[in-house]
Amino acid sequence: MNQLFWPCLAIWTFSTVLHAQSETVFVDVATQSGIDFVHDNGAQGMRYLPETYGSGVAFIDADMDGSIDLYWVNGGRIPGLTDGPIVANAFYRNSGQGSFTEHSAEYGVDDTGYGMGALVGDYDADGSPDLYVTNFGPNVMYRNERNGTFVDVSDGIDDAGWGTSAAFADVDLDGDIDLFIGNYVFYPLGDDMVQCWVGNSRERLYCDPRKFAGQMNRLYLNGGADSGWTWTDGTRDWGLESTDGKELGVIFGDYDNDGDPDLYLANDMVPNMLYRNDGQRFIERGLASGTSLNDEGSVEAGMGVDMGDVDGDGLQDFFVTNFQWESNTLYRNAGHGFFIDSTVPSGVHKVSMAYLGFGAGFIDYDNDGDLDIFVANGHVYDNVEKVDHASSYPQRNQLLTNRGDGTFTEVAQAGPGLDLLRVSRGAAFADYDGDGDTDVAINNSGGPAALLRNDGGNTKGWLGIELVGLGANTNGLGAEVEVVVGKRTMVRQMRSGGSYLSSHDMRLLFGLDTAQKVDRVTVRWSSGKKQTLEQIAANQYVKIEERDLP
Amino acid sequence: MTYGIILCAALLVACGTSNEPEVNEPSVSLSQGDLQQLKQPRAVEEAMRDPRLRARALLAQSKYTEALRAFEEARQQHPESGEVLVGLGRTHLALGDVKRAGQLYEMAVALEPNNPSLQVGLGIFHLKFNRYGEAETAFRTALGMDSTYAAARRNLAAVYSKGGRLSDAAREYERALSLQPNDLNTRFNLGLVRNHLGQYEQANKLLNEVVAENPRHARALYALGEALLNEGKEADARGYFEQTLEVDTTYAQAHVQIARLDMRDNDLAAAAQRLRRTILIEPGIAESFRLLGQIYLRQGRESAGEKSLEAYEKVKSFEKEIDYFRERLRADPDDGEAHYNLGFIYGRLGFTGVALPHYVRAVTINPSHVQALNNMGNIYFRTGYLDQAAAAYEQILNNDGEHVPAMTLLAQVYLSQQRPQEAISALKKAISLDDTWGAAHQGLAQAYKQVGEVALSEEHRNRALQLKGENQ
Repeated sequence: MNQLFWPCLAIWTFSTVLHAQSETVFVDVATQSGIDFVHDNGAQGMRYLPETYGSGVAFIDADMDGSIDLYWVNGGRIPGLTDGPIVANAFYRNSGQGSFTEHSAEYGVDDTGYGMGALVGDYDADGSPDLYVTNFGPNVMYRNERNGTFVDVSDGIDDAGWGTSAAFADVDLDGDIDLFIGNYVFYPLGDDMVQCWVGNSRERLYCDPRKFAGQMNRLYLNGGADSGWTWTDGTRDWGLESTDGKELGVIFGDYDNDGDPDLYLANDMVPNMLYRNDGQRFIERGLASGTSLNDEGSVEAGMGVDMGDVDGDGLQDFFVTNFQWESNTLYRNAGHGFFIDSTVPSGVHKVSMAYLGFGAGFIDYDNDGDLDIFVANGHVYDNVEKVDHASSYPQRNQLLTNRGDGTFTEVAQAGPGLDLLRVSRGAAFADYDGDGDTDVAINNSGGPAALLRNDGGNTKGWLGIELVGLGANTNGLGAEVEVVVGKRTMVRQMRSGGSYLSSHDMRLLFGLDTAQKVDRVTVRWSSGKKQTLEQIAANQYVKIEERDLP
Repeated sequence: MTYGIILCAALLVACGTSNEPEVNEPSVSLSQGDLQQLKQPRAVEEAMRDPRLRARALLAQSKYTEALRAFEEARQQHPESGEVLVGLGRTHLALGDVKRAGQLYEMAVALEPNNPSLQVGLGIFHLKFNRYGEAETAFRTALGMDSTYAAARRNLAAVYSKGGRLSDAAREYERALSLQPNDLNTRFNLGLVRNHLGQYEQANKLLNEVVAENPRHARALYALGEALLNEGKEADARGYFEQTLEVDTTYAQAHVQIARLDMRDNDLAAAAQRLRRTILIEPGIAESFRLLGQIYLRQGRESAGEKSLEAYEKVKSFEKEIDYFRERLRADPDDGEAHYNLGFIYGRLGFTGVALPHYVRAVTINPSHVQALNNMGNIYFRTGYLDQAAAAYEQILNNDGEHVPAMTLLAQVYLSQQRPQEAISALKKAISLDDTWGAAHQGLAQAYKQVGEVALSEEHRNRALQLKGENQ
C-alpha cells in the first residue's frame, strides 16, 4: 500500500448488505416506492415528430444526503403545435428507506418546457449537483442552492434548438467543467410543417429524420470562478459547428488515452461522429476511426450511446442503440484510434435485431467484474402495426450479459422488471438503494415510470468509488479509474451523460466477483495527477479526493 | 481500343450486384403461345401481319423505334386495347420518354379498368420510379380483381420490401410462393427478406433451395454468405462469397465482403489488394474506398487514407442513384435511360472508362439519344479516339442536321485531326444557324489560325470573347 496517500483517503461504508439470492433479477418498484410519475408525450393524433422521442431521467443527490434522488423529464404541450395540458418535470426525493416523495415545485425544478433530457454536474464547484434540462425549445440550467432549492440560471445557455442529450466535461482542461448540448433537427412549424403518411393512406406517420436538416450542437465553455461561473459559446472555436449530425446520443470519453475528453455523437440516419480532442479543437474522426457507420458501411438510426471497456483491454469501446432491424452496434476499440464493428461476433447483432433501442448503458449488473449491457426499447411509431406487422410499439427491455470476453448473450430470466412491455426511452443507472448493485430508472414515453431495483446483483463483491476533484471539477469528470483484483484489471472513466437523454450516479461501481478485497485502485485525474490505493476491502463505497502531489 | 475501355465493356455484364428484390415485367412481352406460333415460318409470316404481334416481337428484340411504329399502327387498328397502350408505354419508357409512358399506362387502365394485368403493368411502372404508394394501390387493385394473380402478389411484396415493410413483404412473398411454388425468384426474394428480418435459419433454408435448383445463382450464393455472416459464421460465409466469385468473378460486393473478413483477420495487405481490384471492377461501391481508406490509415499511410476517404464521400453521394439505376437494369437490361444515367454518374465521378460502355449501350438502344451521343463523343475526344468521337457527333447530326453544339464539337475533332478546312466548313454552318454560339467562333478562330488567316482568326476570337463577356 502506498502510505503516502493514506491520509488523502476518506472511507466510509454505505452498505455491506449481501442478499442470499443466487440470481440477479430486476423488479419494478416504482409504484411501491412512491414514484407515480407518468410521462405525457403530448400526442393528440397529429403525430408531430417531438412526441415520439420521449424524455430522459436523471439520478441526482440533490440534497446531498447520500441518498440518490430522481428527476423525471416530461413532455406535455408542444409549444406552437398542440394545446394539450401543460405538465412539469418531476423531482422525487429519496428518503433513504426505499421510498420517494415528490418535491418538484418545492425544489424549483418543475420546468414546463417540452422536455427531452436531463444532465447532472457541479458546474459551479460548490459541491452540490446542478441540473441542466434540454427541451424542444429553450433549455434550462438549474443551479443547486445547497438549501433544498434550485434557481434558474439559464441566461446565455438556454439554446432554443431541439436539445436532446447533453454532457459535461472539462474539454479545455482548465479545471472546470464545460457543457455540450446535442441538437437534433430543425422541425419547421406552421406552413412549412412536413407531414408524413402511412403509404398512400390518410393515416399519419411520424416523419423520417431525413426529411429535416440537422441543427448545430452547442459547446459552452465554463469561465470558472473568476468569471462568476459564466459561459461563452465555444462551438465554432472548437470545430463543432457542423450541422451534418442529427444528435440523439452524446458522450464524452478518452478513447485515445491522451488524457483529454473526446466526444462521440450518435446520429439519427446520418453518420455518427467521433470528435478527437486535440487540445484546442475537436477534429472529426468518425469515418477514419470506423465509428461513423456499421460494418456494412451503412448509416444507422443512432439513439443512445455508451462507452466502456467490454473486453478488458483497457480501451473504451462504444455501444450505440439503433432502429429495429438494424441491430445495435458495438464498436470495439482496436487501439491507435481505430475501431472494429464487433456487433456480429459479439452476439449483439442477433439479439437486438427485433428491437428499437434508446437508452443504453454498460453496467455490471451481476458484479462479476465485466461490463454487461442494458437496453431500453420501444418503437417510434405508435401505429407501427400499420407499417410492420412484426413490430410492436411497446417492447421489452433487454439485459445482455458479458461472457467475460466482450461477447454477449441475452439474459433470459432477468426478473419481472424486464418482462414489461413499455415504450421506453431514457434510461439512467445508479445504486439508488446503496446496496452495492446497479439499479435502473426508465422514462417510458406516454406511460408510467419504471424503477428497476436490482435484487441479487450484490451477491458478489463490489466496490463503489466516489471521486472528489481538487479544483472546480468536483466530480472528477474525465478521471480514469483502474481497479486491480487478482489478475483482473478493470478500467472505468468518470463521466456525466451518456445513454439517451439521461444522467447517472456520479459514483463508479466495480463488481469484484468472489474477491473480498481490491488489490489496487489507481486514479488518473484529468489534471494529470495519479493516485494509487491498495488493499481495499470489498462491499463498501470509498471516497477518493484528488490531492496535490508533493 | 484501350485496355480500360475493353475492361469496361466487359464489365457491363456485371450490373447485378445489389441484393434488392427483383421486379418482373408485365405481360407485354411475347407469351408462350406467341412463341409457339412464331416457331412456324408460315405462322410467323402470318403473325407479322398483325401489328400487335409484330410490335411485341420488335419490343422483345429491343428494336424500340420500329416497335414504336408497330404499336402506333396497332393502336390505329385496336383503339380499345389496353395491352397495346401498355406496349406503347413500355416502348416510350425504353426510349426515355417517362412522362408519355406514364400517360399511356394510365390510359390503358382507364380503358380496361377490370383488367388486372394492366394494373400490374401500371404498378410496375410506378415501382420503377419508387412511387410506392401508387404501386401498392395498383397491385392491390389487381389482387382485388384476382386474388390468385401471383405477379401482382410478388410485386406487392417488392413494394413492401423496398419501402422497409419487411414483415408485410415476407407475408406477400409467402402467398406468391404458395401460388407458384416453383418460382425461384420469389423464393430467392423471400430468402432475402427473411435475412433482413434476422430470421437467418429460414433465410438459409430458402436460399439453399434456390442454390439447389440453380447452383450458379450468384446472388443466392452471395445472400447465403451474408446470412451466415450475420450469424457470426465467418468461415462459412467466406466460402459462399468465394463460390459467388467462382460463378461471377466480377461480383464486386463479394470481393468487398472477403476484404472485410481479411480485415477482421488483420490481413490488411490482402484486403487492400482485393479492394483495389474491386474498384477496377466496379468503382461505384463507396464501401471499397472506405475500407481501403481505413486500411491505409491503419498502416500509417495518412495521405493515401485521407484520399481514399475523400473518394468514399464522393462516390457515396452518388451511390443511391447508382444502386437505383443498376436495379432498373437488373429488371430490364435494355433500359436505355438507366444506361445513360449510369454513364452520366460515372462520368461525373471521373470513371469515364466505366461511363463509356453505358453510353454506348444507351445509344444502341436509342440511336437518337443526343445527350448519350454527345457525352460518348466527348469521352472519345478527351481520350484521343478522334474517329469514334467524330462518329458520335456525326450520328447526332444525322438525326438533327442543325444541331449546332454537335457541329462545333465535330469541328473540334477535325481541328485535332489537322483537317482545318472541314472544321471551317462545319463551324461556318454552325454560325449561320446560331451566330451567338461562342464555342463555334472560338473554334473558327483556331481553324483560321491553322490555315494562316490571321485577321479572320482575330475577328472570330474577338467575337467569342464578346459573347463570353455578354454571357457572364
